[in-house]
Amino acid sequence: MKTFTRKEFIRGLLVVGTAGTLAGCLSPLQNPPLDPRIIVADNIKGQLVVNDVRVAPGLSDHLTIQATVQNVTRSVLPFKYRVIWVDDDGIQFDSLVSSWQFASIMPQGITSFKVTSPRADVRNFRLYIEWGK
Amino acid sequence: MKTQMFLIAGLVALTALTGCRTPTTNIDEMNDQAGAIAGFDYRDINRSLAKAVNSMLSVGRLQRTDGGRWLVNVMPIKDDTTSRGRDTGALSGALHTSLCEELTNSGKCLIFNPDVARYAQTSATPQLVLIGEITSRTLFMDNHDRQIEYNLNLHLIETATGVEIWQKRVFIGKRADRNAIY
Repeated sequence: MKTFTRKEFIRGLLVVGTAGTLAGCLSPLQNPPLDPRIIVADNIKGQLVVNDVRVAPGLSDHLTIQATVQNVTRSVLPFKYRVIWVDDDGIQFDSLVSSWQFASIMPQGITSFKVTSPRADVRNFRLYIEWGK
Repeated sequence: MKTQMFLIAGLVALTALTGCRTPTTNIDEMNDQAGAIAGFDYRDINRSLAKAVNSMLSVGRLQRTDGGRWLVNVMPIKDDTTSRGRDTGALSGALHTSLCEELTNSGKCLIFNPDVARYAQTSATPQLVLIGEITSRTLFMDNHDRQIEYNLNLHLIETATGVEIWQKRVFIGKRADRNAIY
């Protein structure tokens, strides 16, 4: 068995310590600063990244929201989402389109989902994303 | 001594059995944590109709150039699932009412009620008719577990011309144990 001198031991310790410090400084892939209307639950925050959210009337006068999300883990990620639609006063509309919808993303995969507002006079939304299957 | 032993054993068994009972709880529709079931439950009704309504509203087929509202005759949803024997009418009734509710709330439609219309003083003819059915198909997987495929098929037809202006098939699939009841 090889024995280390005191100098070699200290040098090794320094190398390991520096590597550990640098690794600790690397920030994991996280959600970019999000629109406050997009609420990602803590139970999925480190695993799913919201890449893009668009809202447009599209072919109708009803707003459609499209969100693109990415699974940053190495396993299949089940999640659920719902969109609450609100009027000018912030009062939400009760509608089946605000039910939880379930989906999953393959490892490192990207997927998009769309939800259309139940009424033409909605002005705003809140998008909730949680872990779930 | 023997009698006492029997009594203690009986008491222990009774306690254990009582402990196994599932306490009754109310379902919180918005945060239901229970697992999926093989049948078509309220969550499936909501999910399938949400997909259908999303499709109908996003493509803009319900927009009228004059800004008016369509008079729609929503036909009863035909229940062609294998569970219809036990809860006759419940599934199709829930689908029908929820669909009418969403159409009314959209601000684009008024619902025509044919049962009441026959007594009406002035006649109104629906411009659109919505026809729907829900079907189920059970397949057996290699390990003999079941794959249950539910399909909600909806068709929106213009009554004057017979032109189908929108249609949607919503699929809800389930895999369950071979002994699962649904």
